Amino acid sequence: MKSSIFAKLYIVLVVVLLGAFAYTGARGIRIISLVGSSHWHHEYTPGVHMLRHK
Amino acid sequence: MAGQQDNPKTPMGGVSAFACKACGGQVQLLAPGQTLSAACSHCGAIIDLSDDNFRVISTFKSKQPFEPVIPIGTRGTLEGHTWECIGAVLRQAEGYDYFWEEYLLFNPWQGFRFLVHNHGHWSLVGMLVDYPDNVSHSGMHFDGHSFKRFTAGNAIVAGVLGEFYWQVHYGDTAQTADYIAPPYMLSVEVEEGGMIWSKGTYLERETVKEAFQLDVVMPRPHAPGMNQPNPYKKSALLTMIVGGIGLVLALVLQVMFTGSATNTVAYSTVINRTGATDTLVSPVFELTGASGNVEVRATAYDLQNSWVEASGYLHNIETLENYGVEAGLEYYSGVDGGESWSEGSKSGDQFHNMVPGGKYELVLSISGESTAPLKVEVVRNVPFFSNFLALLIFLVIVPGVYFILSRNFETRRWAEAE
Repeated sequence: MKSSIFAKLYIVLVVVLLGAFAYTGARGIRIISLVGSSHWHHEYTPGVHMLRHK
Repeated sequence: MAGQQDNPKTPMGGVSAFACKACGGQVQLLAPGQTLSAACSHCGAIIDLSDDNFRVISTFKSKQPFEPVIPIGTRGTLEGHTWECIGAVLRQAEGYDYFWEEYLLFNPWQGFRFLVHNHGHWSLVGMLVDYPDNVSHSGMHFDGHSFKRFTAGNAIVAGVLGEFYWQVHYGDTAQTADYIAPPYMLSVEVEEGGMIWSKGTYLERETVKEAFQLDVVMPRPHAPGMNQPNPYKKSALLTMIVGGIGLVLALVLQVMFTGSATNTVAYSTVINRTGATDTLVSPVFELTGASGNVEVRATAYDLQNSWVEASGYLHNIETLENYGVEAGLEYYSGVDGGESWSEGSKSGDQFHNMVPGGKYELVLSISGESTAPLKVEVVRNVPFFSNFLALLIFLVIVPGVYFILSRNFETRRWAEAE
């Protein structure tokens, strides 16, 4: 009776995912928020400019 | 195994062939001097080899076609020894249309073994010298294993090929019971001559095919075998142990992360809505630390059957980096047919990872039909559980699937039990 290839793959993935969990958790990174949050650099920010003059 | 009672007669020695008394056909013996009965390969009559006149014990009357997977006379190697298949018995569970085959293997130095073929499952079986002595209805402990009672009933000899070391008859009936501790099984047979115990070990069908170099398509099993090792058991155990260790480690890490998250409110204000599009440009505030997450939260406690949306960005006044903010709030409730209902939420948020520390201002444009006051907060180093929950699901789901497969296998196995 041998453990299946999927069981062995699971063990490898557990190690990898625990490492990823430790890395992201220590930096406060919420993985689900890596998708869908926008971030940009703009030297001239039209919104700020506009709103400050309202 | 079929009919192994002690026979007081002495087997004939030195005769390697004889003429069948029933049909006159020539019958060649494979283990002369070792066998007491043989089935005529021409007419199926069973001949008493211990009788000087080769009397007919039993004539062929089986209605069940019997095509052995291992032809009589085939040699093969199992457990490091060469065995010759000298006989085969087709047996039937009394009262059922259920058959299995028992092949008699012979080695001049090792003696006899049985190879039992039961609907695609194979077991190599040998007689026990030391019998189990603590047998209960549910099972027994024997040879370091806990055996559970699997089935019991009467087994009938329904077909015979080759020769045997006992006097076999068509219709011979024995009371049988089987106990299992996969890959092992213990079988007991009670006949008029006494009680015989035997121990079997499961063999993969490919092992049998290779051992006897059979050029046939081996019958495939359609259900778990009585003593077939559960193919999912080890994987289930392994993944449960690894998953359990992973779960404990993840829990410890999550407690550490939650404890170290400062959850600091860097900026907070309440916007009294006018109903039109309102704008917010916050005073400059500081996000502490080198880097960390930031959550912009918008909450309208008095929001009722309406909606409001805050969109804009978090602006670093030193690096001019912008982090977008989109938070939509809508909340509706009422009573329908006497049942109260609600949908939506009175709060919304925007989360950003790895926002550098520094001086920021929040710029928002707030629109929507609601005039409910809107509380806006910028929170630094927020604790969260979504990573942990995602890891938890992964850690649990694989062992869970193996556990279900293992249980399902055992359920199907025991569905065949008595």
